[in-house]
Amino acid sequence: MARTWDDVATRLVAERGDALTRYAYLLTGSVDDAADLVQDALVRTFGTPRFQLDLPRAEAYVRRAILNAVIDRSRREGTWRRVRHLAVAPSVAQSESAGTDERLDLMRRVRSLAPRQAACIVLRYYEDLTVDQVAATLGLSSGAVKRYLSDALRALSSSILASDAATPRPMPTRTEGDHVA
Amino acid sequence: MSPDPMSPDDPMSPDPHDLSEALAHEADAAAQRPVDLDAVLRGSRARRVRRRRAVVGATASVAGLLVVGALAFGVGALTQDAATTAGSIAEDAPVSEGADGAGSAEPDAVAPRDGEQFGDDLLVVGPDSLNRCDAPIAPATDAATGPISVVLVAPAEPVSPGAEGVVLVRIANEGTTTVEGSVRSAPAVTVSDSGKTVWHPSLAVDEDFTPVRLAPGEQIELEGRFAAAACTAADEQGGAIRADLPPLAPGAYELSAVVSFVAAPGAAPMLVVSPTVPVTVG
Repeated sequence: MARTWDDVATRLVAERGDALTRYAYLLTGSVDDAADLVQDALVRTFGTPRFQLDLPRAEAYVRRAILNAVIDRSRREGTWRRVRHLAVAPSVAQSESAGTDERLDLMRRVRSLAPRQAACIVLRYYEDLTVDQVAATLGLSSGAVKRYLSDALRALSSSILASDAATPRPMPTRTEGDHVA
Repeated sequence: MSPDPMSPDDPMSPDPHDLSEALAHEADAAAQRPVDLDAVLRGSRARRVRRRRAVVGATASVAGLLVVGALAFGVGALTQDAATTAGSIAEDAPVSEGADGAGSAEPDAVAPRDGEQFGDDLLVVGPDSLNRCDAPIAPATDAATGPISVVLVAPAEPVSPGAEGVVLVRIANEGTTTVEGSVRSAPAVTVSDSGKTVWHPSLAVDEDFTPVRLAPGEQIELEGRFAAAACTAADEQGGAIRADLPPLAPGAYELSAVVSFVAAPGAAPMLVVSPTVPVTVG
């Protein structure tokens, strides 16, 4: 049965709105930014004539729109980072207290990844999607998703190693070998 | 967590369990702001209206330069045939109510008008599911009312039950002026039995469009694929159909094609349906 786009939008927000917001939050780290991104992505998705905008496709479009917005923002912030020292005094380096929550630390590292890598990590390890499902959601090939995941894990690993070398503290517990379950 | 084939085999990578836990903890910890549905609906409707006005403006400008005959190619003429174009332009408000067909092609009928109910009348139907299993097939688009016509070249050889068949789909400009736009590269081919759909393509995830520029009388050919398989209404899954359908019984069937044509970027696609051609399964 054919449904109107408004019906699909209403259902998507009701059934997947929270999941989409959490996804955006995991990529941005800001509740407000996440809400704004989801809102914009929904408007973009349903403001464009599309065939067959059923629920799964609409959700995939919204996730892609969120990711694209994060990529755009990342580019802008990258530009800002390059000129920031000309405008503001350098901030005092934050020391990592011994009690720093490793989870928060890991999340900070995830958010410092390239946006596509971070999105693949979130979809794979938070949404528990398979590589193929991540590929379908983000409109990438499975091979590209594997590369993003592999690069992301490697970058996280390097980041953790560098941090461990700089800060004398016990190595985080890791499983042997089968780290990509 | 399901097994992952892309392990980098780096023993220093974060533990996936830690990663999952950190992500879940982080997502759960923050009090998320709920989505403002009203704002989404208002915003998306406004965006659709803007897009449509842009198309109307651009099309009307072009239309002003064309001869009256060229206007007969207008999209609006196709909208008269609700049965054949229901999916493609259902998103647009009805135009030229009471008009009698080709003669109604005026500049403001080239693109649809905005209706008060705009945003509520957007049917979500694509070329792949214009025809639904067990339902009557959409009638062929009247070639006289549209800028392009679509015909199928009947397969010369029978198709084995359950096998995939390939047909040529010809898209021709039957008018007197050049037609420009884009068509979806994969025409949707439907198999029918005495006018009733027995197979149609599943929902296409990616819609790859090919730019076309057809001078009067010019035509292009696309390749269409179909399966000699049998579906019923129970096999419909929101626009898709089950993949493991039983083969069609040997016999005589018909094929028809639905071509999605977009006249201008951002414009609503329209569906053009070909007449049926016979096909033998066996």
